[in-house]
Amino acid sequence: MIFGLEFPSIENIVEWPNFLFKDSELFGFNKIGFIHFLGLVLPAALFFIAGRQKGLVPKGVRNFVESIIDFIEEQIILPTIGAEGMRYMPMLMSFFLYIFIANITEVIPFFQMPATARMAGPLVLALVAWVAFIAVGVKHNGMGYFKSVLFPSGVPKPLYLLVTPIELLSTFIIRPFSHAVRLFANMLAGHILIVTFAVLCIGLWAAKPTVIVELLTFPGLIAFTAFEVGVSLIQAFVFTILAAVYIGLALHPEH
Amino acid sequence: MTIQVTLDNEVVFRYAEDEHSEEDGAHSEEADEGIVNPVIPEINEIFWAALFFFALWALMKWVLLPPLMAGREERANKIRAARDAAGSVDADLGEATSNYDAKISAAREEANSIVATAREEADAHRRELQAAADAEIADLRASADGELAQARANALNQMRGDVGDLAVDAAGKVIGADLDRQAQQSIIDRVLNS
Repeated sequence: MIFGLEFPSIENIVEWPNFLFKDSELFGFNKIGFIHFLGLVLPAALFFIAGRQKGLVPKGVRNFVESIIDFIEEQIILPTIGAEGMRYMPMLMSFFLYIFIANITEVIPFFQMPATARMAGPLVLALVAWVAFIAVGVKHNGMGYFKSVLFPSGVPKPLYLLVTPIELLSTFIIRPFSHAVRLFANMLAGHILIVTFAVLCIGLWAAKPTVIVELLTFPGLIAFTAFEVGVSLIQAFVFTILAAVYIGLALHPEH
Repeated sequence: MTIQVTLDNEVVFRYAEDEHSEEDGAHSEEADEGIVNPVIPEINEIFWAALFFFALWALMKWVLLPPLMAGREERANKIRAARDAAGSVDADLGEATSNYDAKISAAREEANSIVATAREEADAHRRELQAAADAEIADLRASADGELAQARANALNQMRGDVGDLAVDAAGKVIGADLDRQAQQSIIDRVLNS
């Protein structure tokens, strides 16, 4: 209870009841699951419609989709992996679009909840990236990949006592969690911020003597909502480019 | 979610889960204790997130991206081919331009050569005409000089005869005798020649 307002507790703003398979612990399907479903359906529909258009000159939906492909290629793959990274386009494209859809529902009416403000989604994606970069490293460098990461060249041998445990922790243990938490925490913080301002608006509107304060809280709510649109895009980009950087480092661990 | 404003102007939010729980008279143990750690993932959300992500990845890899990437590749190839063709046309144009320039240069040299030859011929012809004119002028001048000398000599001879006659007549009248014209001629000639 703050200033006569009862703010919702954290479980009230991030936990959603199952509406399908209600009693199943594994298959319980709630709003978060539905947002993830949209993360599959919307990009798939968009790309499917774009792929059906013929002709050399892209127009309409295909133009938009090719812009996304160009963005992933020019802003993520080429700077971090190089031309050989184009084979990872499907995975990186999936990361970007899936996360963006899961993020942007934060500001979509009737959803107003980013699926990435729950740890499950970011953790799954971070583990996929983790498995992917280790697999790429082993595929291209054999078991020498682990040696080149844990025992970087140019380091005096006594320092391996210090460097190797640090590299082991940072690259193979902490990295997937930092990757996941970076996305999760950003989106959860944004969600709490918007909820806080929304609660303030509703509460202060109900308590009429304080309606003057509404003049500050409502524009604040609008501003933070607009801000979260940018955050949704940036966090999708950051997660994807980090995954690409990890893959690039695994391809050429000597760098 | 419902909002209630109490008599003390307090705003209370009530959530579906709470209402549902109150109706059932049974809170979950977790909610009762307030132990909710948002960092701990729910197993059902992990399942659906993984399922839909892998489905999207598979669709992207085998269904959705290939036609778009093929279209992009086809367009890039056509652009590359058109650029190569344009490069070939550029090369042809360059060759034609250099041929044209070479022909223009040869024609210019030939024209210069013709002009120089014509100029030399004209100069030679001019010199010939000049020489002929000079010779003609010299001939005319020589002829005129001869005629002048002849006229002068004639005039002198005529004047000599007239002066001799006058002098003989005058001297005859002074002395009152007829003087022989032939006899005095030598004196007259000596006076006139001096």
